[in-house]
Amino acid sequence: MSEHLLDIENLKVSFHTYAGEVQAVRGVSLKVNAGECIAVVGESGSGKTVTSKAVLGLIAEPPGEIKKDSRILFEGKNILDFTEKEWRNFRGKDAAMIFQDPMTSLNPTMKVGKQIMESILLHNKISKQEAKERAIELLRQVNIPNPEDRLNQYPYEFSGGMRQRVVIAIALACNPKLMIADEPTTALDVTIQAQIMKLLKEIQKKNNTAVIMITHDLGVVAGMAEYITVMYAGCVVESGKVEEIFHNPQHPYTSALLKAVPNMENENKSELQIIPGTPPDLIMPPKGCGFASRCRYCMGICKEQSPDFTHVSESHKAACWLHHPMAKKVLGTEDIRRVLENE
Amino acid sequence: MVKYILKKIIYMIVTLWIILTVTFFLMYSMPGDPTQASAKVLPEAVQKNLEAKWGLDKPLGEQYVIYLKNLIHGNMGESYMTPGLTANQAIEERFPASLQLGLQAVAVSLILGLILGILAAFNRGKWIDFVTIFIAILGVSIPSFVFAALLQKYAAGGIFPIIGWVTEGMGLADIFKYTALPTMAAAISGIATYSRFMRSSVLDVLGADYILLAKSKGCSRFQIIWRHVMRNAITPIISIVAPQIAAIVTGSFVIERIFSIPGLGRYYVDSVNGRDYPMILATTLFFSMIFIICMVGMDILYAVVDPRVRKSIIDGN
Repeated sequence: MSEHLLDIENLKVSFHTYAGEVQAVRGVSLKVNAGECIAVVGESGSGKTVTSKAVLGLIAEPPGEIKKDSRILFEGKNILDFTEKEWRNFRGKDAAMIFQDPMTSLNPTMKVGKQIMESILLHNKISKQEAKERAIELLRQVNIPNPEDRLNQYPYEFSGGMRQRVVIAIALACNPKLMIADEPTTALDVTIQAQIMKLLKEIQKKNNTAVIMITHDLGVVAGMAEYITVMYAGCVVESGKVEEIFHNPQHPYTSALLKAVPNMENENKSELQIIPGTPPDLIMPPKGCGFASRCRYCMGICKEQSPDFTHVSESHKAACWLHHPMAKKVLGTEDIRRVLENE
Repeated sequence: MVKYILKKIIYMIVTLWIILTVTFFLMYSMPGDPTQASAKVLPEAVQKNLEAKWGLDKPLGEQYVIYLKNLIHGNMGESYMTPGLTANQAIEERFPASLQLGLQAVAVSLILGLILGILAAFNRGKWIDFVTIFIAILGVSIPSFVFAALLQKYAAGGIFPIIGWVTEGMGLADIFKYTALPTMAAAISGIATYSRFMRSSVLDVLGADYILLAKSKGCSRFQIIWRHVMRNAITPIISIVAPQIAAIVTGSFVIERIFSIPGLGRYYVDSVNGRDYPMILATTLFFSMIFIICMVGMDILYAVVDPRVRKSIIDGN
């Protein structure tokens, strides 16, 4: 019924804590086509990691809870209905994940080669020797020198960047159709970041793997992703092609986020723009738009009712009341345009 | 690696020598002496004779040197209380019972403790977790002799004899009958300790990123526990197990006494009461040696389990 590889529809995830129910993800919809790279951008606590974990069934229930009307379709099948066995077949083979911190995401007491082979052997009926050869090939693919020797080393013998390459090799082990990279470069220094991003891009092109790149750094995604989805307080606020988001942001949060990216070429040495305030408490999420309390253009309606998506183009949509015809009457079309074009 | 082991052996000898010296002088500063320890009051002439025979009339320093000389030749002296019995013989005779009781108790407490700890961690907040906490509190707060007495009162009498120990020629069934209660009594505190430690250790590991990665590879629950959790969770346990093994192998003299087990622990206490100097020194030395061997064993086990430790040993740091 759908030509999308991954189709997340109205995903709602809550966590039950002593303080109350934290509604971490509040109705996220997201589509990924085969071989395409999309970026999910948002600040800490915006629900991007929870969304990605839900795709791999890694949300522990309890304390987590995926609401009943949520759907995640992978090749047309709702993976939220998977049995434990189906999940095990799905994880690693159809979809794989790259985690944020390579220093902690490898088992410290297991040889690197064995950790890669484990994934291969789980999903393929091949001998250990063949798995080993495949592991060497994978290490070569992620540009680790002397893969034959490196195979027999432990994670502590690798640097941070090298470990992240190993994690990527593990994710690639079974040629997954979808790879989720959860802030893969956050824990690395800048030069290594660039190398890892380049590697991920190469792999995506070569293997035709779909990639969901989760990040809070817009600079990271510019060269890599085709589409960007911006999340805030557990909701998608804007999504569109990279050029559309970068050059024509339609949500005040997106434009504020873009202005918060440090610019090395800025000769005026102006201060870095920040977004004042803090995200709302998701135990008691706001009735209206999640960004209302921090938004410079907040109107009465913003606090009362959450906005629907307005399509700016076929691929570009934003959830903001400023796009409502009534807002244009209140503020004037010129004002709105100035607002949305960052004044 | 060879250098490492050599270094450990030298440390061990030095440690033993220090323990020996301290024990030697502490022992002589105890009030009372061997000639007055027995129930009968001996005539003064007999006392003098005995002192001369045992060399107690010489100055303390000279006695110490003589003892060291003998020790280097492997001679740890003869018992005062049981004439004719050498310290070596006494250990040979008495230690097997202690060792068997100790090893059985360690095995039982490790197996039960680790399994309970793992179950509790995986079922945090459920009934099995509370059962483990309950057992742990009981095991830690009730002294083993109380537990031993309770076992004698309620569990013994039927299949299990109240007191006694394995004698030669017994079948497996009999060995089990005689050792079950003392083993349980000696194991309870270990079960309590290991289960608590294992629980928190497993919970630590379960929260680690690499467990999430293993799960995202498609590992089953069992594979995750076996390949990724166990090895990492057990490392912190090793450091508490080693001294406990030493303590339980050497020091269950209360249990040995309650169940009338002819073990070395009980003998140790008797020799202190009887001021049986050669025996006190011999058993102290022997216990210390076992303790140190356990600690070295722990270091080696660490290296086996954790590659980072292995590397630092091979590099000689």
